[in-house]
Formats: sequence, C-alpha cells, structure tokens
Amino acid sequence: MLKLFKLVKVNLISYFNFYKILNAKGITKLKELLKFLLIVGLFFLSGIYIYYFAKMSVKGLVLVQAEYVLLGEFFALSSVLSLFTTIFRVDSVLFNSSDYDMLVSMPISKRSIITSKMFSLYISNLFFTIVIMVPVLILYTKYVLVSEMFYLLYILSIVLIPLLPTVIAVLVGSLVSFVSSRFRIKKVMQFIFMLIIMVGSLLFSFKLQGTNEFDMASMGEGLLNIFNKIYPLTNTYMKMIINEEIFSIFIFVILPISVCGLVIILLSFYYTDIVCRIRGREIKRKYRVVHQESSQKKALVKKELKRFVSSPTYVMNSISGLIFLLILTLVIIFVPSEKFGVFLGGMDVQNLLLTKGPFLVGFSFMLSCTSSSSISLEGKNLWILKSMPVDFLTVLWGKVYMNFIVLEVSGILISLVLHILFQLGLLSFILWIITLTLYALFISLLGLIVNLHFPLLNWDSEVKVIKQSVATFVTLVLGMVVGFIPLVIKYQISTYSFIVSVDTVFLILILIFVLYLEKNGRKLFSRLES
Amino acid sequence: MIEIKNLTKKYGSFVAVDQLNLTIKDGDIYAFIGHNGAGKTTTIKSIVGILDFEEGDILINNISVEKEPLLCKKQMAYIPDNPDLYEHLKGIDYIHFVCDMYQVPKEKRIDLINKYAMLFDIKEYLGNEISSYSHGMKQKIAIISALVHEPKVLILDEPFVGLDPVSTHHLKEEMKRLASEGITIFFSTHVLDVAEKLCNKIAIIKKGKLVYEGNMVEATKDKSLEDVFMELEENVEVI
Repeated sequence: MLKLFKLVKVNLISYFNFYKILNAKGITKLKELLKFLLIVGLFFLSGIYIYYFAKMSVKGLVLVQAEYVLLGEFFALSSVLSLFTTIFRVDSVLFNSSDYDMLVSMPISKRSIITSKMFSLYISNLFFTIVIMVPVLILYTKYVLVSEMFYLLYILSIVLIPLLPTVIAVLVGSLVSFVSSRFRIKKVMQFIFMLIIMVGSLLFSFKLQGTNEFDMASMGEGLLNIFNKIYPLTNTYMKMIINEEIFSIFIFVILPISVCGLVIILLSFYYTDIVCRIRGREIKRKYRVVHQESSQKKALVKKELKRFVSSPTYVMNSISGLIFLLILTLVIIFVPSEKFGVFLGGMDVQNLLLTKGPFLVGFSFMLSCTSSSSISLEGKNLWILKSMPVDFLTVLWGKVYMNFIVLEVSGILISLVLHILFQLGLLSFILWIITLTLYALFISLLGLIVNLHFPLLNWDSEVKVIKQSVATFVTLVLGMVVGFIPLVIKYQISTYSFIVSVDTVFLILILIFVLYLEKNGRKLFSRLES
Repeated sequence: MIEIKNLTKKYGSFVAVDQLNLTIKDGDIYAFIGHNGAGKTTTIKSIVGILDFEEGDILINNISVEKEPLLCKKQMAYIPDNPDLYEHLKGIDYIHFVCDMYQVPKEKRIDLINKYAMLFDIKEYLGNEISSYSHGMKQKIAIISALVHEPKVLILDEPFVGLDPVSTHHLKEEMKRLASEGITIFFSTHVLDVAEKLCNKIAIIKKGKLVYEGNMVEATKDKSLEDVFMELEENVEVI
C-alpha cells in the first residue's frame, strides 16, 4: 500500500510539475508561477463557458418546471465525455509509458502499477468534471432552493463521477489494445477499432432519439430517460441528488469502487502480455527500397505526416473535432435530413448550413490542432532538427503545413459533400472554402505559437503532450472561444456580408501570427532544450 | 577546423562550461575527456548548434556558429551519446530525411547509403521501423546518417557505446581514413584506451574548465592516458 501511495505521489508531482514551481528561482520561478496561474485562469474561462452553455439549456427547462433535468443532463455529458476522451489515452498511459521497464523491474506489484496509472487518468477526468459540474451547481442553485445535504451529496458526486467512466474507459481501451496487439498491423487495427467505437456510439445515440416521443408535461422525465439511456447511471444519480435516497447513494458509491477493483485485478493478469505484444516488433529482412529525394520543406512535412499517422493516440486526440465532423458528415449522407433535423431540435438543416455552416465546420477545426503538440512531441529527438542545416522557420512552417493540410483536405471534402447534398450553391461553396482555409491557418499558427511558448519536451508518455500539456489546453480554450464568437453573434447584415466580415478578422489575426512567427520563431525555437 | 573561443555556457546560475578555449585542426582526431557532468556534452551540443551559449564564439572553418549557424551545420555531422531517432520512421526513411536536410544528390546518397549500410552490417534491416531496433542498431543508423553527407567536421559524443566489436572496429578505421583526408574529428569518450590509440590530440575538462590540452604522444610519453587523467583528477583543483 505504501508503494502504491509513493507511486501515486510521484505521478501527481510529475503531473502538476510541482517541483519546477517550488524549486525554480528568480525569473524561472516567476515564469512557472505565471504558467500555473494561466492554467487556473483558463479553467475559470472554461467554467464560464460551461455556465453560459448550461444557461441556454436551463431557460427551456424552467418553462416546463424541470430545472432538475439540468443536473442529469450535465452529469451524463460529463461522464460520457470523460469516457470517450479517456479510451484513447489508455494505450499510451497504461501500456506504452516509458517508465514501464523501470517500474516492472522494481519489487512493485502489477496491481499497484495499474492503480497508479489509472489514478492519473482519474485525476485529469476529475478536473474535467469540476469544470463542468461546479458552474452547473452555481446555476442550479440560482433557480432552485437546495438543502445542506444537497451540497454534501453534490460534492461527493463530483469526486465519484469520473471514477466509473475512467474504469470503463480503461476496460474498453485495454480490450482494444489487447485485440489489436494480436494483429501484425497493430496501430492500424487500434485506429480502426477506435473509429468503430466512435461511429457505433453516434449511431446508437441516433437510435435512442428515434424511440422517444413525449409531450410538454412529461418533458422532464422524457429527457431524463434519454440521458439515462446514454449513460445508465443517470437515474441513480438523480435519485441520490434530488431524492436523497439511501439505496441510490449506496449504489453510486459502491458500484464504481467495486468495478474499479475488479478491473484492476482482471487487468493485472494480462498486463505483461498486452505490453509485450504491443511493444514487440516483427523484424523484416526483405523490403523494397524506395530512394526518394525531396526538398527540405517537403521532407519536413512528410516527416510530420508520418509522425501523425504513426500514432492512433495522436490522431484520435489531436483532431477529435474533425473526426467527429467527418463521422457526422457520413451520418448526414445516410440519415434522412428530416430525421437529422429532429436530432438538432427541429432545425432546418439547409438554412442552418447556409447561415452558420462554415462557422460550424470551422468550430470543429478549432478543436483539431496538431501543431499545439508538434514541438513538444519532438522531445528527445529535438537534437536532430537543431543540429541540421535547416532554417528553424522552415521547421516551424513544416509543422503548420501538416496541420493545415489535414484540415484543408477534410474541409474541402466536407464542403463538397454538404453542398451537393443540400444544394447550397457555388457562391456559398467558395465562401465556405475561403472561411475554412482561414480557420485552418489560424488554428495551425495559433497552436504552433502557443507550443513555442509552452513546450513540454521531457515526457514519458505522448498523452502528456497531446492531451494534458499547457500548450494543447491553452490552444483548445482559445480556439473554442474564437470559434464560438461567430456562432453566437447576432447580425443585421446579409449572411454573406457577415461571413466576409468574419473572414477579414481572421485574415488580420493570421497576418499578425505570421509576422510574430517570422520575427520570433527562430529565437523561440533555438531556446528550446530537451 | 574548429575554434572554440572563451566559450561559457550557463544553466541558470550553474556554469556548465567556463571560458573554454580549444582549437581542433583539419586532420586531427581530438579526444575530449572528463568525468560525468564535466561539461563535455554541453560543449559538443554548443558546437553543433543544439544549445545557445552566453559568452564566446565557436568557429567552424572560420565561420561563426552564432552568426552563420546554417553554413556551419552544412559542414558538420553530429552523432549523439544516445541515439534518440524518429522511432516512427523506417531506418532507410530516416537516412533519406537526413540526406534531404543536407541536400545530398540522389545518386550520391544511394552509393553512400549502400557503402555504409554494408560496412556496419545493417542493410537488411533498413526497411524496418526504428522502434524495432536495438540500441546498437540505432547507433549504426545515427553513424550512417552522419557520414552520408560527407561532412568536413565530425563531432561524436560517446560514439562507441552500444556498438558491437566489429562495428566499433569499422568506425575507428573510418575515423582514421576521414582524418587522413583532412576531416576534423572531435569526440568525447570515457574509454581511455580507445582515445589513446585512436587520437593524436587530447583535451581534459573538469567542472567546465579546461585542465589539460596537448599532443597525445607527448602526454603519454612515460605513462598511460589513464594515469594522466587520474593525476589531473586528483591534483588539479578547479574553483
């Protein structure tokens, strides 16, 4: 038990970077403190974002006197988001961590190693839950008078909410790793399995939509039923929080803890086997040599693309917004537009695409940034680029181009499909392409500049860079805020004029980024040390 | 030729390299020796442009690393102490990537890749991902990548670590051949026997300061390099 505590302590220290803050001196200490304060500030910003998002939801619920649904809605949302974001991290944290060899060579049980790794996943989900559930609590208590017991149970629930999704994610993620490790093309299979899980979940949610019809009077219960179908612990949560039922409290506490224990025991039997199979590489002696000569720029972009596609964790986590959008486009192709309109709350899909289309697709671009982790991912390989006769700016632009190419190609494809399906017209298509090009450039440059300022070069698992680093977090929040503004602005001018206005603002921002990168890029890159 | 002039490199308030002066001439095989943390790798990383430095200058064939980094890097090749390469690339793809960076013409690179891959006995594994390689195989890829662009200056940090005896022999022979053609070779090592047999010049660094510099034959005239090193370690105080 003592070993487990020490492992967890080491993980937490490395996770929060406490040593750097406590032991640094002078300007470095100030920088670390500022970095810490920035993260706290961004957490607050995310909380405010959630607050207003929840406020939009509660307005409708107040009309049908079903404010309590807000709690169930965000409980399910927080749990499902934790579940899906964790599944894609399991392989990297549990099975591909660079400290594996060191840990298993020590007299530490596999259960302790697994528990400590799961704990770090739980902690990141706990922060995620706090950011979602605390603003919801503040908003809810504005509309409903609650008891002291409610507060107590709510705090208890915040601690417990991320546990079950973390455990389920570990189970599913391990299963994906276990099965894909049986194939020769492990990474490809892992990627395919993850895509199947995403598409399957989306189609399943459509199926749930189709089976529920309810009138205004029973809207609250009807909505809760949907959330309960999406995440089956929702009803138990509601009974615990609202009705203060002892049995529900018992279930809510005991269920995640016992499932967690079982998963740890189960996983400990297969842990070494999975790790060995994942890490084992087949050596081929026969191969076809392709000698290709490229320019420096082309070689750098190719290298970035190969890095990107080589890691399912990198793909699934860094461009999750784009993957979701691509899947959604596929669903739109196969699901009738009326039914899809129902899913969007009775909206006219064609009108929605004409007025907000490029901004909606652009918003998904804002959640798809590879450049925000591309410098950090160089890690111990940084010496290669720094010792080569290549301009550091060319290196940096290579990283921007890679992100831009992925977004631009997807953007053109999605625009083409949606314009053909909904007959949106040529002018709209041209405007979409211009807007998406600007969005893609903006987020690629923003991510790179943020990563230059917040590099994380010493890491033991790529998830720490891709998912948990300051750079990706800052880029995500800034991207979300910028992407959200054109969606919520109410304008009096024509839609096309509004799109052109937004594009002009983006163009100015891009020019500022380019000037900044050209002026400071070399200096910032040369200062990096791994 | 490498000229290190008053090089000072600090990490915060810690001075890793302090007012270092060294000149490595064309055709020299120059050994750079010191205990762990003496400042060898920091010096080497400063020469090849991986680390910025606070004071002094480094000239590669009379060109300043600080003022004209690209021109200097074009003439240099660096082999690190730990071959951290791009694990997701195949061995052959990594070598081609390096060739692209140094703009090595296609025909020339094919000849040199074949030559060195045969010499270091790794040709049949070049089609595999680097992540499947052993430490020694990665080291071989780092060595081949350094040699394929025919550098005028070769900088090596502990190059023999992880290499099998045959490859170690081939690398030493290749270093001798390159030096005889006028290539400047500067390398750090803890294996004093190798340094004594292979190098014509030697520099010993202690706590970031140069404590000995000279001709290998003169230094080891009446005692071994190990004795010279131990004497300096025990008797020379660096403040």
